[in-house]
Amino acid sequence: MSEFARELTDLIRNLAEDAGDKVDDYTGSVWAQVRELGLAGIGMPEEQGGSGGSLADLMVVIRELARAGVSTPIVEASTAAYAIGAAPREGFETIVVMPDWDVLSNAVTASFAGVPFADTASGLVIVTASSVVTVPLAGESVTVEPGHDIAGLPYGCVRLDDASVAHIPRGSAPEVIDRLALARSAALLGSAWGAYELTRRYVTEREQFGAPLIKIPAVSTTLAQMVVRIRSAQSALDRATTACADAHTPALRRFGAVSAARISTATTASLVARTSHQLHGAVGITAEYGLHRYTSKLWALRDADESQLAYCRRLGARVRSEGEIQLWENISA
Amino acid sequence: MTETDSATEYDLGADTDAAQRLGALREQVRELTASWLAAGRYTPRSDCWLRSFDLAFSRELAARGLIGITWPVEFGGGGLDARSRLVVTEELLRAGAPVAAHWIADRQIGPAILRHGSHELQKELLPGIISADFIFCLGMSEPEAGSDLAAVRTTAKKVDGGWSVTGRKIWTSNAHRATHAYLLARTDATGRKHEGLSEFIVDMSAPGIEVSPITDMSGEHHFNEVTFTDVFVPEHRLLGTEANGWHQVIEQLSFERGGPERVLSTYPLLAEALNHLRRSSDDRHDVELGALVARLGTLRRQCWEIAEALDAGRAPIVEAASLKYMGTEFENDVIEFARRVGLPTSRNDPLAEALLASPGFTIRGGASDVLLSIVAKSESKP
Repeated sequence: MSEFARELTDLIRNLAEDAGDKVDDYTGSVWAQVRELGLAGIGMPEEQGGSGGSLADLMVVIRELARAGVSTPIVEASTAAYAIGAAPREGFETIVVMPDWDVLSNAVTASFAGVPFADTASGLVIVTASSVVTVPLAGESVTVEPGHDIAGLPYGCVRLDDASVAHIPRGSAPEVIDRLALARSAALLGSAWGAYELTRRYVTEREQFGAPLIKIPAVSTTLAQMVVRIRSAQSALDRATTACADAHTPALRRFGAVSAARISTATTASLVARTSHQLHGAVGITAEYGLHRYTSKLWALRDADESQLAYCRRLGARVRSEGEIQLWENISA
Repeated sequence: MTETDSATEYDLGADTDAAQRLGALREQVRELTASWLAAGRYTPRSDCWLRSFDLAFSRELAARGLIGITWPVEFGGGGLDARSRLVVTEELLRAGAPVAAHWIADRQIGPAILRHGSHELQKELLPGIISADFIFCLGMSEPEAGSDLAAVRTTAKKVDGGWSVTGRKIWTSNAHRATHAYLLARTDATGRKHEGLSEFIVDMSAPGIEVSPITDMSGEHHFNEVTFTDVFVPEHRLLGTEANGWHQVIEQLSFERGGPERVLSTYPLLAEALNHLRRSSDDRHDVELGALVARLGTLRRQCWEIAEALDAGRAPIVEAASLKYMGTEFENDVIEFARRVGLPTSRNDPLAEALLASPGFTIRGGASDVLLSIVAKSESKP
């Protein structure tokens, strides 16, 4: 898939090691480094301020940051940048999806709950059924109420009171929604790998009943169930990345592949969070041990942007309206 | 050929020649199954690759060069790659076509003969498989050797000009219709149980072979018990190296696990459930349908990745075990979906047919529990 996967993985691993316990400082030095290195602009052409490279490279970066346990707004920033057509510079924009809504005028009065990084982003991209608009998160017509998601990451409420928004003429809402779901899937997968690797190390090192835990068949089988599903989710992500990277992919096929990735990584997230805690025993529940960094993100992100259930329902409805031929030739191909 | 199909066959991207070749193969299979269906020559069904046996259909495929398509042209094969075979098998399973006659030989016996057989054996057997004249059954499991295949007790003793085989094989699907059997037998009982095993190709018409039917829980007869009493097997029918049978059979099993028949055995039922929902405009099951379709698309992708790995000369053993584990789980969940959707459940309805076949999905070709232990073993390596 990604030509530079190994280099990018090593780069991010070093970056996470240098950060030490600052990995939770989501908009601090690590994020500054990620931006300086141009990692959030990978997959965007240089004339848009991007760093070049492929979409697959960007997915590696997002996955590996999550796998290293580093908290950054890279999913929101890179997707918003894609929607706007300009790579993030000093600040970054965040993004929300409102599929049952539309913006027809240039002034908006509305309230958005659960906006990731609402208190630190400089602007907000709103993706609706058929439009993509941006609004700066500053000024008198904008109120931001900070809050936190399950993982403790910023997740605020944004109120717009007759705020003027800019329509992005080239913005195609379904494409932006698919890109956001793709990036979110990569982050989920990275967090799942992170939780799995901690668990695998723990059960091979921790001795009980006179042997490492992994010698207990029920433990090794449970571990296998985790990794089988994580690798399957990786296949789903790779398929969706390919579909999004090729501009000639029929929209229906892209939608099928992205939905599958989003649903598959969310399903995997639930299993991995639960199982990795179970295999860790009490130590995994402590604040000091790092497992919760992964599991709380798995819980938060599986329903981010739009819930797993919403993705399932939309995919199912589409399959039902399109029928078996499209199911076979595009949606699941 | 539909336009979208030829343009983007999975991720071949710029390789439009390959995409077109694969698209044309798909189209060839679709035309054939559609015309047979229209003429009422078969009824699509679940588990068709084990239970739907029609020599005439297999010979139609043979006439179109669709059996042995990855094998060398020298023997009449197609000389194509594993991805080409995948698109053909996928389309056949989608159509629920009667493919049981040639499936085993095409999937694993031909490839095993190509890997380990002498040139003489290849010339003797491959053309007959390719023309669907030779039908194979698998003599692996025994009453005392199921998941623990190395416990095989059937013996092959050296005799003048060949071997003499004595023993019992069980769960031998379609042995009553087969012309040939693949056989795993013990040629040396002195060492450990994984040593001293050898592989043979046996003529089912040889004296001393007795086939007794075993009716399965659906009332169908595909299983058999096969008894070998002093059956003579000529020298040259030893497959590969004497006493190397364990290594060879594990390879065979690892490769055969990674195909789309571990995902699509109940696809015809999924299609039926979907049509039912469309006819009744029933949106109550959209969430579950979406979740299933997400898995379907992902599993098809995993099949594709395994085919790519084979084409690149790798041995995707853990990937194939993982695919079979997750794919057969999907096959079972499709049946539960059809049930909740409300498809009819009389004994002869497709749902009941699939359900009665389903316990075999997670057992044959490596029980799910054994597959997980294969994955677990590779994960416990430091």
